[in-house]
Amino acid sequence: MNGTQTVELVIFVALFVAVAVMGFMASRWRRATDLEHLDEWGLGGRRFGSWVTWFLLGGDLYTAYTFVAIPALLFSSGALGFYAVPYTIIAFPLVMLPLLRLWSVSRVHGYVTPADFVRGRYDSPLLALLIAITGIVATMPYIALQLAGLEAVLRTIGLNGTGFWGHAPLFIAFVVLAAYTYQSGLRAPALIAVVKDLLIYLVILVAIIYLPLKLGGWGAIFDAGQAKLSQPSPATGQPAGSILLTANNQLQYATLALGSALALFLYPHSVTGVLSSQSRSTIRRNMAALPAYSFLLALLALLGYVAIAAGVKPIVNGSTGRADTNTIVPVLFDNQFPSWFAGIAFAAIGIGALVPAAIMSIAAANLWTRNIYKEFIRRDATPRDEARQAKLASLVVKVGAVLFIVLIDPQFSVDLQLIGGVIILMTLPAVAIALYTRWFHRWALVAGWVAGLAWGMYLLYGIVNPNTGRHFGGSALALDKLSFFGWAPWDGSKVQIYVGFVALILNLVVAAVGTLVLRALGTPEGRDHTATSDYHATRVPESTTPEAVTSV
Amino acid sequence: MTTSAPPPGESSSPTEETSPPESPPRGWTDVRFRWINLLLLVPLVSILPFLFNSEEPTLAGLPFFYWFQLLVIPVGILCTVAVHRLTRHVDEEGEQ
Repeated sequence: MNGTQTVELVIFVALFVAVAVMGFMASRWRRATDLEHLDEWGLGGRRFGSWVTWFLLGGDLYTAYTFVAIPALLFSSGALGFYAVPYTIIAFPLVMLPLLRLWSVSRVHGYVTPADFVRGRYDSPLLALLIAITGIVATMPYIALQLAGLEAVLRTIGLNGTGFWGHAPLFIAFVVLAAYTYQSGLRAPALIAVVKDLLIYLVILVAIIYLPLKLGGWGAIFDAGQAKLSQPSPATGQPAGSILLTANNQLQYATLALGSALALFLYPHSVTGVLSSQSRSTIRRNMAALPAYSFLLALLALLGYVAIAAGVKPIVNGSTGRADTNTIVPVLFDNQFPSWFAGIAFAAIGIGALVPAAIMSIAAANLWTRNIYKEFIRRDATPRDEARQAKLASLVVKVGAVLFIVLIDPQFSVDLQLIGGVIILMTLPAVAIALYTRWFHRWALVAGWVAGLAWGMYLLYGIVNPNTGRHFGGSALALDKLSFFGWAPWDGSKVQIYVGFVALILNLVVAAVGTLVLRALGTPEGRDHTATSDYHATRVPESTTPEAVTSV
Repeated sequence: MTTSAPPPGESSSPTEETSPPESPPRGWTDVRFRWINLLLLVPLVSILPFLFNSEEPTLAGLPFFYWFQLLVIPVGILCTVAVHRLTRHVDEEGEQ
C-alpha cells in the first residue's frame, strides 16, 4: 500500500464507521413503542413519506449495479451496457399503476410481502410459498453483485490480498452491515440512504464535469472507446464490442431493458420500499420523480468509456488471479482524483453497495418470516417471535449471497443481477397479472412457474463464460440454441436474447394452457380473499390483519 | 397495463361470509381504463434501438444513440407527471 492509498483508506474507513454508527442509532429514529414487531423492524412502521421513500427506493435501485457493474459492461462490450438507461426510463411509468393497486390491496389486508398478496388472492399457501422462495433466492445474486462492487473498491484501495483471506476485508464490512441491520431494521438503510445519496451526487457531479474536460471532451472519449472496442478480443477473435449496437444484440438490448424493468418491482425489496410508504400519492410522486436518477445512471455508465480514454487497466484480483473489470471506475477515480476525493468517492460506492444489501436482506427476511415460518413452521408465532425470526433470516440471506459470489462466476458481474432477474420474473403472472385479473388457475400458475424456472435455469447453465469455461457464464442466449424437442426455428442465428424473457414466455404459455385444461376438468379454484373495491382503496381500515387461509 | 374496462356484470366480489368458494371472479378486477394512461407507454420508444442506433447527428460529442435516450428521460418524466396530475383527484378524495 502506498501513501495515496493510505489517505484513501483512512477517509473510506472514517466515513464507513460514521455510517455504521448512524445505522446503530437509527433504531431510535421515529421510535415506535416496540421494535420487536415485524411492521416496525421490517417496514419502518409503514410511515415513510415522499422524501424518505425517494431515498429508500433510490438507495434500493441505484447501487453497485450502477456504479460498478454497468460501467464495467460498457468498458468491455460497448453500447449493450447502456441498456440500463432504457431499463430505468421505462420501469417507473410501466409499474406505477400496478403498484398503486398493490399498495391499496396490501393496506386493506395487512400484506407485507408479495407472497402475502398471492396467498390472499389465490387461497393457496403453496403458491405463496413458491413466490416467497423465488423472492428469497432471486435476492441472493443481487446482494452478491453489491458484494462484488464493494470488493472492487477495497481491492483498489490496496486491500488486494490473495487466497481465501484476501476476501477478509469484504467479510468485515459485511459483518458490520449485518449487525446494524439486525439491530435497527429498515430504519438503518433508510437513514443511511440520505447520506449515501448526498455523497453520490457530489462524486457524480465532479466526475462527469471534471473528467470529460480533462480528457478532451466527449467526442474524444467516444473515439477512444470505439478504437479499443473494435480490436479483436484474445478469447474469441471477434471485436469486443462497439459504441453502437450490432444486428445481433439489438434484440438483447430491448429484452434486457424490458425484462429488467418488469423484474424490478417483483423483487421483494422494491415491494418493501413501496409498502412502507404512507399513501398512494407518495408512490405516484416517486414514480414520476425517480427517473431523474436515470440521468445520473446514464452519465455513470459512460464512465466505462471515460475509463478507456484515460487508459485504465483493471486490477488483477488477488484471490482469483484474473483482471477484474469491476475495478475500472474505482481505478479511474484513483488515477484522476486527488487521494482525499478518491477516498470520498470510494466511500460513496461502498456505502452505495451496503444500503441496498441491507434493504434486500430485510425484504427477503420478511418473506421467510411471514410466508414460510409463520405459515408452515409455527402458526401461533407472536409478533415478537416474528421479529426475531426476521432478524435471523436477514443474516442467513447474507450468507447465501456470499455463497453465490463463491459458486457463480459470470463473465460480467451485472449477470449476477440478470440471473436474479430470470428467477424473479417467474413470479410475474402470479403477482403482477393477478393485480388485474384472477383469470389464471392457481395450479396452472404453479405449472408455469415450474416450467419457466426449469427451462430458464437449463438455458443459463448452458451459457459458458468464455474466459473461465464455467457454466452460468452470462444471461444472453443466441437464438440458434433455442430448440423445442428438436425443432430449432432459428438454427444458425447469432441474434441474442435475454434468457429471462424466453423463460417468461414459456411460463405464460404453460399457465394459460394449464388454466384452460384445469377449468375444463372443474378443478377447485379456491376463494378470492380480496374484494374488488380493495384495489383502489385510499384509506386503511382499522383492523389490518391477514385472513386465515384454510385450503392448501 | 390497463387495457380494458371491467365487464358490466363483474362488480360484487366474494367476501368472507357470503361467497361460494368455487366461483371466484375471472374477469378484470375493477380495472379503470383512462386514455391518458397510455402516455405511460411513450417511454417505451427507448427500447426500439433500430430507431436511434446511429452515430450521427452528434450532440456535444455524444453519438445520437446516447443523447436520444438521454432525451427520452425528461419526456418520460413529463408523461408520468401528466398522468399523475390528471388523475390524482381520484386518490385525494379519500385522503383528507
